[in-house]
Amino acid sequence: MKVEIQNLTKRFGQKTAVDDVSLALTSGVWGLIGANGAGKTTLMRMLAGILTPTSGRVLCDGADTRAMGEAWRDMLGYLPQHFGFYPEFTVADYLDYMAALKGLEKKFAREKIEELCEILSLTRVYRNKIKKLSGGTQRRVGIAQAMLNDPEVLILDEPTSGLDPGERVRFRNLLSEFARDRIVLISTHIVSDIEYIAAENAIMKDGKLIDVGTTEQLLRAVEGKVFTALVPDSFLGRVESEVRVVSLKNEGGGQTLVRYVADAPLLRGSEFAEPRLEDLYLWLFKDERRQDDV
Amino acid sequence: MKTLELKSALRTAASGNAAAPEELLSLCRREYCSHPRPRRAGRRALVLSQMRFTALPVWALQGALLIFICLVLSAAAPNEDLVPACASISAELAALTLLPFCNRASRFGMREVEAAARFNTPRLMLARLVAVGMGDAVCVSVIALLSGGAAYEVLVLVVMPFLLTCALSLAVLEHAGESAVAVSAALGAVLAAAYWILAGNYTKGLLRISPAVAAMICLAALAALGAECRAMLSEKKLEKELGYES
Repeated sequence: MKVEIQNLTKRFGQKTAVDDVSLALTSGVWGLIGANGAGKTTLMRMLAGILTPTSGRVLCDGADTRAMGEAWRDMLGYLPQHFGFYPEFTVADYLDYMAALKGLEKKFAREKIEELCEILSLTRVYRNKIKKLSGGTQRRVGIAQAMLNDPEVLILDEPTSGLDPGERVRFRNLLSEFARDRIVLISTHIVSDIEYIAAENAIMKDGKLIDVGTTEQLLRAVEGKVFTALVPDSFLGRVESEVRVVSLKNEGGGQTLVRYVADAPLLRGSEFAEPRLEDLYLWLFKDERRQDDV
Repeated sequence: MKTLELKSALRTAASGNAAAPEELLSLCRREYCSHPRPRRAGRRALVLSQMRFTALPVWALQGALLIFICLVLSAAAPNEDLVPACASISAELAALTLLPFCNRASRFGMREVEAAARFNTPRLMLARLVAVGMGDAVCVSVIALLSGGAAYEVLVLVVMPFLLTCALSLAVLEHAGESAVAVSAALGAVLAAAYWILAGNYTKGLLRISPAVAAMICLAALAALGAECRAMLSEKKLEKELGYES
């Protein structure tokens, strides 16, 4: 199975949210990386058929997904960034409601809901109102609804936000298993999630696709640019303002191990470090300021 | 077990047995057919689901209103002048019961996930209209029966105020921003009061409207309702709801 994004563009008035993006998605987990406002969510919404592109198209095995309509949405599972629900809904109501909207036959829906509730540890809260559940559990309900119809293309916008580390690990394992013969596209700010499970990554910046490849391929861009150095605590303030710091680790004795990215070593005693996706993210999005994602 | 069979068939195919690919193909077919695939339910199931999740609360509210209307109309029955006014205001209140349930998907952030489902927004809206419309039809019919008027009186004193209130409140709901439900309810109440005065004091005047004019007003209200429903489905509106500014 192959989903091709061809020259997809979305404009809102003068603002271009997604600018001429082309990408071919094949089976496996794909990570979509980008700072807030990079256009990830807009791209995902166009893929899910929620927004109409200003220009360009999405093809599924050669067929235009807008022309496929219902057939495309049948193959699709989608988890939006902001998970909404009607306040009176219990987990059971919500999943039943979504199963009806996905046009699932009752018996199949019941079996699938049972299976997903067990996998996502929702059985205990099945009869509880969603509004009374924690953020992480609500997110799991969202993931369950996205997977209800056994989708061949699963689009997840920030699926791991709100999940605790244990839940994230279980979720990653579930996705790895699920994505064997399907396409899973995940956007997340928690790059370590993508690092663990994504076979391929696409990086977006200012609405454009700037790079595509496996984690190893992408990391070549920061090879020889990641360093660690021990810095006295008293210098930390200055280091943080002058160097692109990835992480700080207190080593005791008034010393802190600083991991940073730079073209050349900037701190005395710097040593090369093995690059990670997080380093690449910081390298690429060094100038980004936080703003609402669109 | 089936996986083992497949593996053994694959091994045989690799060893050059001419019949093996056919055998493998049939095994693959069997394996594929045994895998549970999502079976699809039809549009009727969608309407039924909307009855359960959307229409039931509306019907409950309308049921309570009907009990109230029965009490009011039976109390007003001895005074014939009050019956038309009571019937009109009841029809308007029945229309107003829909307000808390309009635009719920947008208010509770369900629009996006609903739009990506198989039965997307236009079909879902249609299913909701069918489900809720049944309750409305029952409600209006009961009011018409209780009012005991002739067909033309029912059109002018029940159907017309019902449709006008629906169209007006939906239009306000669409354009009044955050406090839309409250503003819409207030305007509906103003319309109800106006009809109360008109039907209470000028029933004969109201009934002097020609059937053609009354039918045209009803059709115009229906057209306005249709236009508002269409506007609800527009891409621009969805973009605005999702936080995009043009």
